[in-house]
Amino acid sequence: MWFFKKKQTEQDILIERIKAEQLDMQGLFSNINKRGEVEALFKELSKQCHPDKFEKDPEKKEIAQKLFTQIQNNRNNYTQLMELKSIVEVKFLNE
Amino acid sequence: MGLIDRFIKWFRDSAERRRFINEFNANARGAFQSLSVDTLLEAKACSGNSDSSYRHELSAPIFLSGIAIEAKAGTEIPVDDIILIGKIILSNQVLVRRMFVLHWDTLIVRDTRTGKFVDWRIRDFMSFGGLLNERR
Repeated sequence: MWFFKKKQTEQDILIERIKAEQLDMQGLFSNINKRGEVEALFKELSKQCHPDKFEKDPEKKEIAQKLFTQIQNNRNNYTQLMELKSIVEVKFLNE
Repeated sequence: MGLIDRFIKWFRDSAERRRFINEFNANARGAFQSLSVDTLLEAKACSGNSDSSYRHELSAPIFLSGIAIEAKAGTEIPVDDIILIGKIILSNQVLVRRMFVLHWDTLIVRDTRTGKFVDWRIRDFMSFGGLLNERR
């Protein structure tokens, strides 16, 4: 009944949005299974596109900075790191 | 938020909590049976850490405020791997946000065969990030 219904607060709306977000469980289990490789991949990518490596090329340094931040943010996400690896390969290694 | 309001919200979400656990377990079983993971994981609700620093605004009553991910079968996992599994779970922002709003405040990863476990404060890994930007 309408008079029992409480007005939705900002917090309630945000909670509803969070509950509606799509969960990628398969991706999660794939990351868990690849946990042994995650650390090595993270180190390899961090080394390959560390911004300090591109001091002489400001354009590349900016790209490296963005990629480096993304790598740090996805430290434990194997799927994302693999995607970033292909970007790193295209941007820096295929030249 | 008043105590009664909190209790009503927690009670209303208990079906959703069960659904989340069932979904996690079904996926974990599927991944184990298809040999895509080497350890069978199982989620269950349990009591959270009694330390008050673990509590947050949406925390369930303490005896049900924890979510445990247990390694049930397959290869034994050392503590380093337990920590890594926890970090992988907590790096998934969608999952962390969902656990937070479903009233869990403690994530426990445990190997039932060795009894070793590690727990984390879920609120420390919570970020509304892009979600708040989307609303503007």
